[in-house]
Amino acid sequence: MTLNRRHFMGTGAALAAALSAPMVMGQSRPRVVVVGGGAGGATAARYIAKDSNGAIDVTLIEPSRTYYTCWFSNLYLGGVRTFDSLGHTYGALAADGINVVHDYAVGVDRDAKTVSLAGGGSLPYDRLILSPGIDFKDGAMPGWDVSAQNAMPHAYKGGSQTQLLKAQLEAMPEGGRFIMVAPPNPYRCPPGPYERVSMVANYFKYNNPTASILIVDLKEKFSKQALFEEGWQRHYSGMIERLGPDFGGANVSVNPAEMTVDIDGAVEKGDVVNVIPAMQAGRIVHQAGLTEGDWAPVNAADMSSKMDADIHILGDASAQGDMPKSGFSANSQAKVAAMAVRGALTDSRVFPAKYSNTCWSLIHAVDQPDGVKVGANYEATEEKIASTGGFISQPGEDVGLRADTYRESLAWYDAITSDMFGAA
Amino acid sequence: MMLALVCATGVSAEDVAPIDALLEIEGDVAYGEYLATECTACHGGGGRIPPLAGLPREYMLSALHDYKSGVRENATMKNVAMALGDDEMAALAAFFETETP
Repeated sequence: MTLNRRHFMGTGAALAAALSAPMVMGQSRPRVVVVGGGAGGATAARYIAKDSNGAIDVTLIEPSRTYYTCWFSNLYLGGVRTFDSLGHTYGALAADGINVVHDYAVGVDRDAKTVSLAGGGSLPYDRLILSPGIDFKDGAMPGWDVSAQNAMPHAYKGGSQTQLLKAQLEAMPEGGRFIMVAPPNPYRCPPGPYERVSMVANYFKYNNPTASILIVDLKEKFSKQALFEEGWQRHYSGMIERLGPDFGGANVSVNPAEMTVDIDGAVEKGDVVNVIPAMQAGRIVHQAGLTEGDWAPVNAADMSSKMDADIHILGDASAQGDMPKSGFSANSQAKVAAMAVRGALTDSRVFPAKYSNTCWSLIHAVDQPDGVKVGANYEATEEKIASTGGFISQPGEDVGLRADTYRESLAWYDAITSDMFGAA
Repeated sequence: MMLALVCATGVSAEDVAPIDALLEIEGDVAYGEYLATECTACHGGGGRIPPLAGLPREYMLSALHDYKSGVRENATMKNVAMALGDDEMAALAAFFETETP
């Protein structure tokens, strides 16, 4: 079934309230539907189900049966992590009493408070949580659209794209060239493209040492820049070149058929070209009429949509303020939203929102791992989620501390994926 | 442990309450359970980051106190501790003591 977008956007809040009231009273348990089984959605579903002890009926809609994390996928590209180790299934969530539906959510009827599924039918909700992650903006990079992703992979959603880029790197001729077109702000995982360059360089260093890397970047600055540049000099001297906006990085088009990148008129050929295009919120929040521009604005106190109090939007898709778009952020936001949803539906206690994020990046993996991190804590203000203080690794730290930071990231990966998907 | 406590008293920033004062605060376990959801993003997978469930509240309070005052060094934990008020530390310590390891 298809829902007409105009139909559910045009009607008033009073009607929605009138429809939702008998739905709550006329059934045994309030219903929460969660769209998207990634960092935000899986965490929210798990915490609502677990902490309400069955008082809330939770349905999680996620098309994939195995979710491959985007975080740590660079370590797979670098040859220090297997692809299988990035995969997580939904069995533990189902065992916790969550109704896991493997289907695509294709529309939201905000007046009827239902979510329609590609496979047919629709699910009613009292509260809806949307955590769809990102989509790419077609046409934002001249020459690139989603149909070009087999020739020039983005590898910026976990799964088959990650495997494709890895296969292309392994098939690269000796002394070949890897070109990355870095994304404009804002995008998911700010250090991600530069950790990727580090891990590709780590792979080249030991498997294709005369290969080279060119980064084409329209941004003046990037996350952890001093740390990455120091690390590239130390571990991969002469291998990596970056063209920023002063050198044509802001005037770029690509030709997937020719495997070329046009940088302000200079045409460069790549053996492997990784295009990470401009991003926007996942499609369903646009379809539901919850966006302003590319992202969905939310209230900092509970991650509820600024346009619909019964819908919470988590993670990369949301516009919330100071937090970076990351799996860690989505997990943190999901816990605040889960608390708010339980409070609204079951009168459980609600506490002031607190958020946190830490992003680890691996610069070099072999022998002496070189790991760095950046993080911050956040609170809700009227206006946005606002940083209350942060930290970042420093250039020149000793190798022992950097190795410890990497080992921390390994423990974090295991902890946060258990926190999202339940104990395996 | 005692040595660490003595040192902490010596180097504490002005905004770090003495450990004795923290131990006097009765923690709100339900609030601690909510605050602890921040901890579980990193603690619970084993390896380099230790589990917290079942830790005695005295241990948890002294650890948070020492990260806040700089006696124990870890950039992430320093930042976490700096964002916690005395009541929040007490709530966390009270909650984790009730958890089964």
